[in-house]
Amino acid sequence: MTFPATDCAFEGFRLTRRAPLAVLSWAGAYAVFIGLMFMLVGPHFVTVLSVITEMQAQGQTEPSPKDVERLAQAYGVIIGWAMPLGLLFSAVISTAIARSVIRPEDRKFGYLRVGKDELRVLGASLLVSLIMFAVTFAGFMIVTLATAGAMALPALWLVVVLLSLAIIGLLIWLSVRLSLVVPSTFAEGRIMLKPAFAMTGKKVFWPLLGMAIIAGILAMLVGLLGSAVAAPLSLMVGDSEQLVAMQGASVPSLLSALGPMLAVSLVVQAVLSAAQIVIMYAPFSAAYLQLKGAPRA
Amino acid sequence: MTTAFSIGQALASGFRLTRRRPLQVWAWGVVSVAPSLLIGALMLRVFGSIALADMASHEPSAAIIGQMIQFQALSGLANILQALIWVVVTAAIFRAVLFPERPAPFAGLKVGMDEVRVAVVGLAMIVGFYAAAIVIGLLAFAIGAGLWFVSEMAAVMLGLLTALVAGVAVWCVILRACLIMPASVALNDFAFVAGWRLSKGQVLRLLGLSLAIVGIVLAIELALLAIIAVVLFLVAGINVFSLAAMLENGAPPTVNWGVLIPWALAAFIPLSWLQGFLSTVTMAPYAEACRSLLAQAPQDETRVVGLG
Repeated sequence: MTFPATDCAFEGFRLTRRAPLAVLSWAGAYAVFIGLMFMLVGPHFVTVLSVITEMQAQGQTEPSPKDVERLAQAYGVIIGWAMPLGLLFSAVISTAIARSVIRPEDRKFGYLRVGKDELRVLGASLLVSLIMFAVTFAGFMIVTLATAGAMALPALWLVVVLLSLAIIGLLIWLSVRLSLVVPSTFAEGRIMLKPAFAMTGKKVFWPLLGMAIIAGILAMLVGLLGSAVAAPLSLMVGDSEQLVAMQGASVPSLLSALGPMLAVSLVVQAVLSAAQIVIMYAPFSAAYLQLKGAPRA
Repeated sequence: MTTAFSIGQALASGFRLTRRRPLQVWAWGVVSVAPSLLIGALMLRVFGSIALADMASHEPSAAIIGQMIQFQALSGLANILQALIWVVVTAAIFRAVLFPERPAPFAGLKVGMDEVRVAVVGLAMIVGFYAAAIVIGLLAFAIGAGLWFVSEMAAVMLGLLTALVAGVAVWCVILRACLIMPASVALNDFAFVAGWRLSKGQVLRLLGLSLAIVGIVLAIELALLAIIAVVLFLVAGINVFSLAAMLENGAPPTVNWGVLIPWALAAFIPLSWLQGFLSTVTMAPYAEACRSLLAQAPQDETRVVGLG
């Protein structure tokens, strides 16, 4: 069975028209998430910046063992918070998008929840990420080995290039084959790795890839238009002369002086991220419904 | 049945459209030129306010850097605007050729699904072109590096040959893909497959058409430059060649704004029309070729929906 790929590619726009408040609430969730991350890891981010500033001031090109220790500590905290919270937030947002397409009537809290569905989607996303990581890592190792061989035998450079292209092709193929894991996991109420893989076989692969390309380009266009619309706003609040005049100022004073600019950036970033993610993700849920022969809202 | 389009008919379509709708063509030119005016005005505002001594100094002041940052942000914005206007104008030209009977309020300029399709196809073609260029570069490098230790001459020659062959192949692909954009407007869908099928067996004709378009545009521009040089010399006694040499030697041009601005405004009318005319002559032939091929192709083949 196949499906109308170009029609599904526009599901994000349809969803925005159907449930604008939900999309706005996702933008709000993004703003809260970015703000929360800033509060949790902000001081450690300042540590990283100040270590780099000190190194530059002392003309150091390599960090000292003490600097490395401070950097490692700061990065450890940043990654320690950002990884789990980022994964959970991503699962919440992608489940909300899937819910809004597959169960549009379930619109409470802008489709946002933290429950079993989100945990299942988190598990499925982790599995997909692990598979992709394993393939990328194996590919990287193979290319590294071939590159080492090419250093000794230059004729192998062609093999290196062909292998790299083959691995990129394999990753694209795998991404398409696993692209319906999230909507099917949400719809079926269990992690659907193998069935989703089986669903995206021969006849569906190319339309699905085409749909993903169109959705990606649409998201790019929205990002471009959004930044064009937001640029005058940023220019109004972000006084570039003030920014240049503050060269070398401490990070806290920079943050306090550029508060309005940061606030505008936060809002713009949150709205654009939400819009782009809806345009990118919603088509896969629509494609899943079409392939299942279920009616779409 | 073999299908083909006439290169002559396709080339003439831009001129026919200009004769049929001269005001529309002018409107297309006006909107196309508008961002350039914006950039020009910005440059005058930014660079006009910087003192010559400031510009000449090795360490630019914070104020100058601030102004430069502002100018770069605004010119980036103007570039995005220019790209969007190109999309809107191109879709309007395609519609004017493909559906001449349809009413076209606001000179056919609008933002709708046709424009979205033109933008998406255009971006896809740009991304595809760069991806292909990277792959070709890598392959040419790999072949060259592989042979380098056997024979340097052979490596360079084979690397160049690979790049050449692959470059020709990419050109053929671009020519085959060039009907996807008008076909998307004609068929009201993303006609990636239909547009590709439409140009099957038409690569040489499309090559001839694209070369002829380039030739015509160059001839028009050269003729106009010659006319402008003669008019300037006869009317104002300005020798454009000595003016160019003077500017090259670094003589600062003295600008009389009071005279320049009315002249620039007067020149805007014909220049914007020229821009619209050149856009029409460049884009209309592809729409005409697409229209002709669609009319000849069997219904079941042409109405194939892009990807579904």
